[in-house]
Amino acid sequence: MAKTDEVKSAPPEELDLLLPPEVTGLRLLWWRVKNAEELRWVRVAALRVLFGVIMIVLWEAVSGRLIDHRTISSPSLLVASFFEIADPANPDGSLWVHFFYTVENTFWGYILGALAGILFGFLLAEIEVVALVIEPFIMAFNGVPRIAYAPLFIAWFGIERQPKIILVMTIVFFLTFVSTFAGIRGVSRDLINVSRVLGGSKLAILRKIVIPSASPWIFNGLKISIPFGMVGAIVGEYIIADKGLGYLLQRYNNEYYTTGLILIIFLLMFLVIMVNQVLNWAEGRALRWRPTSRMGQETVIPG
Amino acid sequence: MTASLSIRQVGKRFLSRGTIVHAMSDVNLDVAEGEFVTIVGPSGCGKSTLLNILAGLFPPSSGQVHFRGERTSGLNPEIGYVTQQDNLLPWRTLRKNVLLPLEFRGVSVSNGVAERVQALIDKVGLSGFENHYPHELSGGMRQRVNIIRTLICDPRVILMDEPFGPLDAQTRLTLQNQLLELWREERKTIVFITHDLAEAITLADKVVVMTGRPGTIKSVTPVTIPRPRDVYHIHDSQAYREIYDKLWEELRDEVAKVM
Ligand SMILES: Nc1ncnc2c1ncn2[C@@H]1O[C@H](COP(=O)(O)OP(=O)(O)OP(=O)(O)O)[C@@H](O)[C@H]1O
Ligand SMILES: [Mg+2]
Repeated sequence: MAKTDEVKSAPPEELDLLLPPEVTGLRLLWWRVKNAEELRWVRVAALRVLFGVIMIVLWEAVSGRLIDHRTISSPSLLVASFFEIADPANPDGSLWVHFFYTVENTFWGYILGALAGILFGFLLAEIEVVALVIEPFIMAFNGVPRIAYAPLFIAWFGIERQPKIILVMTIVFFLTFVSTFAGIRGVSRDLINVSRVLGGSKLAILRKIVIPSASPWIFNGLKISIPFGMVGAIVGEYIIADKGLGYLLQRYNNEYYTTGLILIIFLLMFLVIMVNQVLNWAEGRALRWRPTSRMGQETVIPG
Repeated sequence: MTASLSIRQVGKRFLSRGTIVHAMSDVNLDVAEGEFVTIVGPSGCGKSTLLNILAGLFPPSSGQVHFRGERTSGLNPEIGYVTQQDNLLPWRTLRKNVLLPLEFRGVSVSNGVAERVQALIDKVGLSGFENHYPHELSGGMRQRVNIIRTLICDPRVILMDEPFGPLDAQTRLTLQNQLLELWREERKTIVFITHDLAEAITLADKVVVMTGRPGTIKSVTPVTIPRPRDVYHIHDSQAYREIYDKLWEELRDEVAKVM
């Protein structure tokens, strides 16, 4: 990695020296905003908001004029139907009832799956033989699209919460298991040997070397698990349920209610972004030492 | 002089993909207390393997090693090992990397300890970088951290495996100088592997030349150039040239056999 020289953001006085003297007033202010290192983040945020607003305006403009609003809905329709569906008096159950049903199922599946995945990752990575033996089985089980298991789980665990939580669990379990396992197998042998020579006990080496080494992989597993886990919950509800965002998707689909479908999609986006934000924050704190920037590491939403 | 390390008939075979690799055989060497020994030899002749055995990371396939008269088995807290890669923990700052072995040994960081750590950091010219992470340090700085991390436990013997290998000529000389100073002050026993003959002669009380695989000891040459040595100008002296020529001849034969 190239070592970046320590670049201090230049104080405004120094920046101004780079400018021709005839630049004054508003143009000077604009120039300062454009170049101040401290404002980098604000500038990016401002541009992002601007981009979002343009998209929304375009959408609103096109809908009902160039393209039928029953096909692509429109921002104003979305807002209107949001208030309608989110109304606690809604006879079908308020949007929030469905929302929290899905969130809760995802939450429990995620927590249980992640705990089990990390635990098993640690255990199996330490036991060479077991790792060798079970690897193809894990790959086989994990390779099948999870939706294929959904009917089985429903048959086994009923149509309430349990099959949905379990579906989420299996998805999250494998993702965190595989990444924890890989992270621990990837810990440098040299680093461990050096630590042994420096007097590290097995437990101390686990705590001070193995866990920190593996943690970027573990975090990665935790992050990619969020949207995939949510897919599990939604798919479970889509197949059979009387509650949840997946159930709403399925119903709106039958009713050709495009605005409702898009509304749910936005809600899911919001959810993934929020959870991701929390994990990014935790990751940033735990992995402060990492030289790379966080750019381009945002979670992708699986199809 | 008492022998700090005595290596008797040591050999090592590895089982590698179903074939036996005979890395080293019949190595005999005595290292006196406080002596600075350097080892040169063709690549793959078992130099690192020898150090791994001395450090106690694995036992020899044959022969034995004695440390201060006692047969060794397993790791020994009196023996420090500076590996070829710096092997610093990327998630720890410079200071916390140096503190790692103390944490392993359950030494609480009292005032005295903190001072000692700081003194070592200052001595190798790293003051001001205590809170930098390894990726924010240059290769030479990282290798210095690697060395003082070993020194902090105050081992009697320090094994060093091409510690200055990947560094540029300038930095090497600076670090050689610092190492000689540290050695003069603390009188450690040092076993130092290098592929640079000039470095081997500059530092050593005696230079060991190893043969190609299976590695064994070809010659042991005392270096009588008086100390303190000037690492920047030693190469001009007559005594240096003579030793260099003799060793180069021996080494060239071995390297030629391997190629
Ligand atoms: N753990 C191992 N398993 C199998 N073979 C090994 C192992 N460690 C070393 N060897 C073999 O033993 C021989 C000596 O290796 P070693 O690393 O000691 O050489 P070296 O003298 O340090 O070489 P270099 O100068 O390139 O560092 C090599 O042929 C290597 O392939
Ligand atoms: Mg080596």
